[in-house]
Amino acid sequence: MSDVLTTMAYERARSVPEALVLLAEGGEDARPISGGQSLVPMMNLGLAAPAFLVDVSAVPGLRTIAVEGEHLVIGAAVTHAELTSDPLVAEHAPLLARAARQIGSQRIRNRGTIGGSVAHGDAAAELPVSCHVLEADYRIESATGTELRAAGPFSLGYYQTDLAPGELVTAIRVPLRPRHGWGFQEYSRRAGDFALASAAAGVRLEGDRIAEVAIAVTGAADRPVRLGELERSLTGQSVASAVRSVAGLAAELTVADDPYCAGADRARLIEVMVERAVRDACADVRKDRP
Amino acid sequence: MTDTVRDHVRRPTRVVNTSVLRNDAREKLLGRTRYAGDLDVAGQLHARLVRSPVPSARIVAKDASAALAIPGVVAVLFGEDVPNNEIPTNTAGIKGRPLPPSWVLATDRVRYHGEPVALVVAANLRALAAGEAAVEVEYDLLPVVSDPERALEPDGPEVHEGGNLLSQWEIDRGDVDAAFADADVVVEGRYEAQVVDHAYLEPETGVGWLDDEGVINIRVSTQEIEHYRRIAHVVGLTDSKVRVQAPYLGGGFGGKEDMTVEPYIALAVQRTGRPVKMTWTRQESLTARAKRHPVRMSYRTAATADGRLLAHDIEVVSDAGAYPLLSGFVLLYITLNAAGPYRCDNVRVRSRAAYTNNTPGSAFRGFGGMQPVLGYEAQIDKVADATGRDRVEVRKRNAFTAGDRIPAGQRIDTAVWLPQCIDAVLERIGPRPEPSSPDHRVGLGLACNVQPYGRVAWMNDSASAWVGCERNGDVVVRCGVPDVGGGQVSSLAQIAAEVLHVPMDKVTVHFGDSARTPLAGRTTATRQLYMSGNAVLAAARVLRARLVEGVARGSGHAESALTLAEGGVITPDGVVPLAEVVMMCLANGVAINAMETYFAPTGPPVAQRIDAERIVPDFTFGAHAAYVEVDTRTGAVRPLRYVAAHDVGRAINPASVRGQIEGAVVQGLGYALSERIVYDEGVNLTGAFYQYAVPTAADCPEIEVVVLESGEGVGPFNARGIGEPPIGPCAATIASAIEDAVGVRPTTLPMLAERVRACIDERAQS
Repeated sequence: MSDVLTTMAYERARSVPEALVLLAEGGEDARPISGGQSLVPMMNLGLAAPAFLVDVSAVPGLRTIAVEGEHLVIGAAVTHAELTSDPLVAEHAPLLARAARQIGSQRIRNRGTIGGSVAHGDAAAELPVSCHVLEADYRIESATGTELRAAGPFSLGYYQTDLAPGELVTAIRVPLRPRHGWGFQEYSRRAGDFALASAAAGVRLEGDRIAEVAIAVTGAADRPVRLGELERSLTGQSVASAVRSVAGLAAELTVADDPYCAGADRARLIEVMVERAVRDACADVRKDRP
Repeated sequence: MTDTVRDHVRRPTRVVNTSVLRNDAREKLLGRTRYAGDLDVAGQLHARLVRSPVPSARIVAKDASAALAIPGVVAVLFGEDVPNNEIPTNTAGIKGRPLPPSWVLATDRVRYHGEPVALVVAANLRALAAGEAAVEVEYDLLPVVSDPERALEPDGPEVHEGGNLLSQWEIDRGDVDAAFADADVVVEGRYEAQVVDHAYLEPETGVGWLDDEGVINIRVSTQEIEHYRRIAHVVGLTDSKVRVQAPYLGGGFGGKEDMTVEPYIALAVQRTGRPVKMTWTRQESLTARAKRHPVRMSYRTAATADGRLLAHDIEVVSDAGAYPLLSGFVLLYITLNAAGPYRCDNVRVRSRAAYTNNTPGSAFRGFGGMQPVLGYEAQIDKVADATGRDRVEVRKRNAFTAGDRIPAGQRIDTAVWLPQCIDAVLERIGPRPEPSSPDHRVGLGLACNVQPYGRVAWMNDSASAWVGCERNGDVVVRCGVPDVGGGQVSSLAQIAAEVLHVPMDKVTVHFGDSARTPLAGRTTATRQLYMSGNAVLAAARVLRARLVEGVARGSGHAESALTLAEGGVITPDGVVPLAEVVMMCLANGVAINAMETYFAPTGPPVAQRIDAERIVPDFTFGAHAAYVEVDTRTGAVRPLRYVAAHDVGRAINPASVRGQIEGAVVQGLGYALSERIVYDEGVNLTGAFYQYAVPTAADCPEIEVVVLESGEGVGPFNARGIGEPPIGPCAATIASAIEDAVGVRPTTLPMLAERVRACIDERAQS
């Protein structure tokens, strides 16, 4: 085994308390792993070298989806594939199902988990931006207690989230909003690539007018961004004029250049994705709902 | 020549021309094929290169002492430690100006990002990584030139002494200026193609060891086992003291035509006396291994009012990167093919290749036949549009026919089935799909190409093969071909099975061994089936005659009364099974094997101003058609359906031919739409595989392949080469389809969404 570049310890937790104890013992060197679809590639590229992996993928309590009061509560180890096919998600958080369908390939969706995606904090990932629009919060547990953190401020930058060593995302809580319609759109160079630009939108209509709207995008910054100003300007507009009003968004955005896409081009893509996500969200509003 | 071509036209075959199960298929499907990197040798060490992190610098200091102090690090070599550090350049340059060599390890100057500077050998991968990081090299940065046109300016920073012009070619056929003066229409265009990587599944890898005869053995993923001579030169041994074996490759595409890991493995084996393995990471492969040449091409084309081509005036600038490698030959192919598969009596081509501090350019499937398709197919569409003629009609009207001369002078001896290819793809492409939304438009594109197969005439190319019988009547072929995955070995088995009337599973092929199989040359230039196939065909025919002769001598029947057929030799007394035939031969002094060498047609080297009777052996022609859908808001292009037709003369294995064409289309779609290496002033930024956008299965359209068989070609059974040709038309096909969809044609590759959208915006504004 002389060819192994790094060595690490690995434990498979059977319960949340056991995982939390292991993470607390491991401290800075410990990382939770579930599907491994972000952490393992980073380890392969030499960008991460955790000394201790705590596998939470088999913890039964992290794999459930249930309505609890005014929330849909999704266990952190629920896979992307499960999000795309679960009837409760389809009923109460269809945006997550639509966004999850855009993630990577079927192989990645079969293993990757929602908790892993939000904790990893890739700025281009589909689920954090969707959670931002859904105004979801995350249940964070550690050896010292449990707290809820809102999805929006949880993202702190490229691969940076508000999660300390020893803390574990155990659930994603999505408020139930049955009168909303949802839309998700993204553009990637290839099927399965991280998107150059994506947009998630949720709307509530009163008649043909937009009563409430939430829009968040990726590609504009180092984290998902809510477009508060645009949301305010679209509120009260008719659907048709709201969709038209998205035009000009690109000029409002300042997006940094990167070697693979100029910032101005990315801003144009974001604008088109927002327009289509808003259009889809309006079309998604189910008139028959109470 | 034409007579031999038609020698066995349409003679019925049993094994050849059928889609027999390839003899490599089962093991590959089961994951049992042992590629070069799959073999470990007991006691092996590992080797890795220290590469330059900068594109242009003087090396002012090198120190291995910290690396050598790491436990497990066995050796560190610099250029000064290499017996012959200079690798002679074998390409066509400029008369009277010697070409610079490339270096096994740079000694005092680095010219591109990733250039090898030191070789570290260690007992395990952990020590190897630590050792690589601990080798100290101090660089004094020098100016970088990353634009070939800038490099050719008089004050462009010199990459090599004597200026940055590596190679130039010219064609001056007819009277171009007079033709332009008389033309009814003149159309112009500028086209630009990018740097792309071969991106094979299997990065560069191999393992070497010293055998009991003092021969350095290297089992390596390579398209050319005959690099053993160059390797021997590097380590200062006589040629026969290096043996190269090429097991089945996980892809080559030209990227394993130059040496990759071989000289380093040989050096490490020589230095340590122990087996050594070297595998380049994907990052090394992407960063530093030679790439396809980016080009800028400007075309001016004259035509008559009825769409007949009168003249082309073409200028090409190619970025050769930091070392010559095969750039001069690639530029030659760009020049030869610049006017495409169309008759044109007045052609001027001026092509230049320049050194820059970018990754060296070298061989890549298509080899210079590839880049100009983007130009000449756009030009022929412009001629059609400018004259109000149909694009199909204009292509058919101008297409070469057998007997025509290409602008560089050579006559085309075999059939040109370009019209048949065009008809086939247009018939099979089917009805236009509906766009998926009001934002989307669907367009139909068409493009044709010509690609030579076989090496240039002054290489005096040859291939040898040995075919023999075992005592039990089984057939053995020995032929030194590397099999890059295209079915090279299986096709040889098919040819032997055909001639000797045995089933495929009775034929064993030993291949790819520079010491123990007859040398058959490199698997490049779409030459391997053509060359080694002809050699096996010749050897099998000689063996067939010998087997009959043996039975004649043993039985007393006249040879004319005997026939080799399935089951053995048929005699007036009944069938003699092959096992008995073999014994009769041996009892009567007749050899049960034969070795033959096939020689390609030869000719003198072309002059810088090319006008020659014999340049390449022959050509393959094809046509592609595609529907694409363009998102007019984002500019994103999605191929919906694709049909490719090529005349392959005769398909040895139609399933393999389909596989070659389908794979080439996918690779060509990557070239068209997504693949590129991105540089920042010579620094290669595309070091991770996820950054290099090879199309995934989900990005690929349905691809239909039409295999046409004119019965004319200079390969065995009139086959033409098909390895490279089908990658050529893809980018032009997609560009043409985009133009049909949105009314504007992108001219820069890859046709990224934002570039297409910018074209749409420009058109909307004008």
